[in-house]
Amino acid sequence: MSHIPDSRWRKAVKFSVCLTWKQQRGETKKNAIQKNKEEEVLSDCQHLVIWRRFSDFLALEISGGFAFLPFLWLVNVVWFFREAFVKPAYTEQLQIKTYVKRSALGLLLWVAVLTTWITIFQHFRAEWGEVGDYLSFTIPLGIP
Amino acid sequence: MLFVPVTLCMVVVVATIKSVSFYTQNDGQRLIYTPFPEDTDTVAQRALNSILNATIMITVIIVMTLVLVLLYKYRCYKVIQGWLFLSSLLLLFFFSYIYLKEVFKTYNVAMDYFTLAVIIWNFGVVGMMCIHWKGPLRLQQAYLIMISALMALVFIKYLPEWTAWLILAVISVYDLLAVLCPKGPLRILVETAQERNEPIFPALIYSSTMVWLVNMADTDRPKRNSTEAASPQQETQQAVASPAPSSPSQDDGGFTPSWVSQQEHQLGPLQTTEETRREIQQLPSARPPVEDDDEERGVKLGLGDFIFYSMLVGKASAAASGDWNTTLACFVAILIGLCLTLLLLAIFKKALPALPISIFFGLVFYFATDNLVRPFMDKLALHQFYI
Repeated sequence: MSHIPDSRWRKAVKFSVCLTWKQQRGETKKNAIQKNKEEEVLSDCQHLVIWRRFSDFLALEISGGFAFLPFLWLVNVVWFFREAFVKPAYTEQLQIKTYVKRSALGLLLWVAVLTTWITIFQHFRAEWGEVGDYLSFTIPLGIP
Repeated sequence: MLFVPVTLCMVVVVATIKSVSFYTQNDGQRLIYTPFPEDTDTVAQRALNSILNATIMITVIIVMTLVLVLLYKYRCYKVIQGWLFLSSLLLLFFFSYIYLKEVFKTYNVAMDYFTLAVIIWNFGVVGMMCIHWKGPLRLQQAYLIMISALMALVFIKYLPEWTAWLILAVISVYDLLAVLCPKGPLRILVETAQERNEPIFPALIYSSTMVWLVNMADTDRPKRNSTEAASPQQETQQAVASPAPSSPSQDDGGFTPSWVSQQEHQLGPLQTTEETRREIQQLPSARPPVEDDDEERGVKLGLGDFIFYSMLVGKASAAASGDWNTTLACFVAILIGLCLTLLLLAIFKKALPALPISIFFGLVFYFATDNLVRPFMDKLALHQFYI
């Protein structure tokens, strides 16, 4: 190992792992490995990397978002947007796309609800008298 | 690359201090770790009290660090994890609640419970997820910066003046000793981890990159138990701030020491003290640089460093004669110290404490600016004498 520069070693390890994954998924033949295909394998692998890394996170984000967590949905949309829509297609992309779209939908819904409630509250708070005070967390000083 | 997060943290703290008066008010409340008051009659009494306070704090810190090293040595990972979890829970929910309340009060904004609940709930839960599990790197970094800022603000509020400066000085010295001495707790920790050939429990570390290579190991092995899986076998190095309540009578209680350590080449001791979450770790990525763009040579810095840097700058701006000269001078001093530390890191390539140089410069600059430069500038402005 001392003769191989570390960066080269790392790349080789990465390559072999990627290859293993691809073989597991039946996407490549064992004997079709050539030096110049390394880049291809590696770039393909990126999708698998992301998928493996984050598939459960994505799924959890979706379900978790239902527990009053629109922020999770926002994170979903922003983070996976590039993966879902900008990058060239790959097998898992469809699933990611669905997730992102659903998250965006849920997010829009929540934004609408919250905006409506906040507008109503801020506008009518003073008029509601006691109920308004009861609902308020901080009450501003001065004359409304 | 570490300058941006450190700067951001300091900016947040200074902005809050300058605008929200809550954090500079002296309510008479103190932490249980600093029981001696500083509003005494004589200067000597005040000095004595502050020395005693600092001693108590540093003892607590040392004890907590030792406890954690022992826990780690005897493989009580669950305990450590639970502790960190509770601490981060407290920080993300309770302290942010108080912070929001004060900010709303300052800006005279009405807020209803429902919206507030939604905000805090979202912030907290996503924070817990990002920090302890997986999440986008940027978001995780942002959360770490925010919780460091929150902690620093708590310290600024509850530590009296002289005590705070003394604590900063003493902690830098302790940091130096704990990391570099052969018997230092952090050293022991690192060596134990290296013996066991396992990644040290990740907690509160700010990391500037994600590591791909670690993920490979993930996929090859079967699912391990959660304690180990939570360790840096994940791509994102995660850190957690974790104070936990211990004293109900105080506003913020004590904090559970949260403690962080790192894999090879750690920098600095990770101390968890009830007061401080200090993981000092600066770490050049132990792995060589990779061609991929998402894996550069990353640097890791413990959250404790963030907290103490921000605390220094915040205290400088909160002090009675706080004006921008002093604040900026401290800010520059800390960044210079950070530069030097990174330089030393590149030279020595081993764990180094991140606090001493920066804090030393910061303190020197603070006292010098406050006592020498500021009166000078004031006089110049008074006499309209431009140089």
